[in-house]
Amino acid sequence: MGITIVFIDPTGKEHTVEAVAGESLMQAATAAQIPGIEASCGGNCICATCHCHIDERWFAKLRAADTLEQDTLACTNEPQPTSRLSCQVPLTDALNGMIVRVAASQH
Amino acid sequence: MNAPVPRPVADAESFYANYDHLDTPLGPDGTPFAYYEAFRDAALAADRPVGWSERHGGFWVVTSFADCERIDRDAENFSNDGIIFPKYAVTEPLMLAEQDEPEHMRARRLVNLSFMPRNVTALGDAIHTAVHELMDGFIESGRADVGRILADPVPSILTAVMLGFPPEDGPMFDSWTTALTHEFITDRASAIPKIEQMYAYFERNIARRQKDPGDDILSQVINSVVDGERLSQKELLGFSTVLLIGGIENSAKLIGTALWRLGWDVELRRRLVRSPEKMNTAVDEFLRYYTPAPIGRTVKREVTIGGCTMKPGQQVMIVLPIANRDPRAFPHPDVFILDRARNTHLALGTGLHVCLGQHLIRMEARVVLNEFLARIPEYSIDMEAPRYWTKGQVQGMSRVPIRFPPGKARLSTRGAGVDAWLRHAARP
Ligand code: HEM
Ligand code: FES
Repeated sequence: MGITIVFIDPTGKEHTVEAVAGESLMQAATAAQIPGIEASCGGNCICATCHCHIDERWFAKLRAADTLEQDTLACTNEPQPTSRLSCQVPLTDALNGMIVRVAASQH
Repeated sequence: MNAPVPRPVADAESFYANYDHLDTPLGPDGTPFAYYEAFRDAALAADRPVGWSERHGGFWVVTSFADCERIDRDAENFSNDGIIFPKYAVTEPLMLAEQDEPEHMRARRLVNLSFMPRNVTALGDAIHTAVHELMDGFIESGRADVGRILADPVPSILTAVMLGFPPEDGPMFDSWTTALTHEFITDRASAIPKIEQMYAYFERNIARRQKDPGDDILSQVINSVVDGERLSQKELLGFSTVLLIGGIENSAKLIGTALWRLGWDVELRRRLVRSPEKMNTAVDEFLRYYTPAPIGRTVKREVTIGGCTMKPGQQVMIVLPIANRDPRAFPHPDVFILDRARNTHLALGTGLHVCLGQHLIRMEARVVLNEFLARIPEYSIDMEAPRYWTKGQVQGMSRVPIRFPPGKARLSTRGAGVDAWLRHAARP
């Protein structure tokens, strides 16, 4: 079954993307060439260029960030309570319809 | 009417066979980019993304974006041992850059957070101060070699600051970097004492920081603990060296080349003067358009790429300056597009070894170029003075003589770091 994710890019434009369970939120974003997601380390939690804000309704459904991700997020520009590194968010069917805002800047 | 005659396509085979990343032919503009473009066109026409160079004992050369990206991300089949080819003058494997898993990630985790955006932003003031002090040193004269007196000093001063050393030690960093990366190959006898002096300096200063930590990045890294692990003494020395090799030359060349381009591309310069916020995307476009460094790998396991079978132990160069001009990845690749969308260039690498300094160089280049243009919005390249493109594993415009309407110095006193640089830049 496909999962639908709605990305809102830094300019405010909405992109509705079909993703598959098991891939990461970052993989879904880069496959669809969502502007603002660079993901230059390819999902290894070292570059912090895949920073997103997850809509509150879905944030609680995600597996919590581990310490490494939390520490990295804390060193990004303007982290928010619902910030995540999208490469660390595996997609599941329960996340169908999730709204994700790409961080204004990754640098 | 005559039928159009197809332009002769230079033979892709001979481009590959003669490729030498340390000695790329320069075109009429003094850069190797016309050569890279011709090489790319020949490779595309022949549908040959990979070839074999006969230079330096023979090595694979990869030019297409897709294959360069794939190899850069493939730590299973390729080792980072061959990142620099032929190797620089370091006896130990270069920390991070030449390490493979699991050692690489262990070390990377211990230093990574110090280079994340928030920590890098804290260095903005140091860059700002360095740029204005350096500009005060030449702004009243109406002419300067901004390669030597702006692009070279800033990364060295910044590296000194990151390591908690006084900025006036910056010129030493510059000459050590040159000794490691160029002189060791061209004049080994004069390089070796400098390299020994560098190791002794770092050892002394690491010991000092261990006793008396400051708020610099070296102190953070000395005290960094991940899963109960710390960096060893040897690794701390390696960290200092890799910052010199990875951080200084690349950055100086990128900034020098950008200042050269802005010297003659009046339209681009005026657009940036009017809209400094466009400098963010401009810096990424400079990185793509004038990519400073190709990078290497050694083959770990037999693998076939672009129809070529690579055997364990063979050297591979992924030619990022060509990959970043691949029309399949970048529409209108030979046009400098100030606000290029989704500029996924590989100039800073990708995957596990993606540049540790990626946030830093973006901020550094943006601040240097914007602050420079704010005070010298109109300038031109001085055609009577020598320009110089440095070839090598790291390439770029290193002498950028310019003329401009003289301005006023802002500060009455000059930092010691700047005086040291003015003396250093006056060397022959
Ligand atoms: C224009 C400037 C720069 C360019 C073009 C550049 C380019 C690169 C590239 C292509 C790589 C990846 C190598 C690979 O895939 O094996 C890399 C890695 C690295 N860079 Fe940069 N770099 C720049 C600035 C800096 C700065 C300012 C620093 C200082 C902090 C730095 C430190 C490093 C380090 C330590 C690595 C090795 C990372 C690892 O292997 O985990 N670089 N750089
Ligand atoms: S892709 Fe690099 S941290 Fe997520």
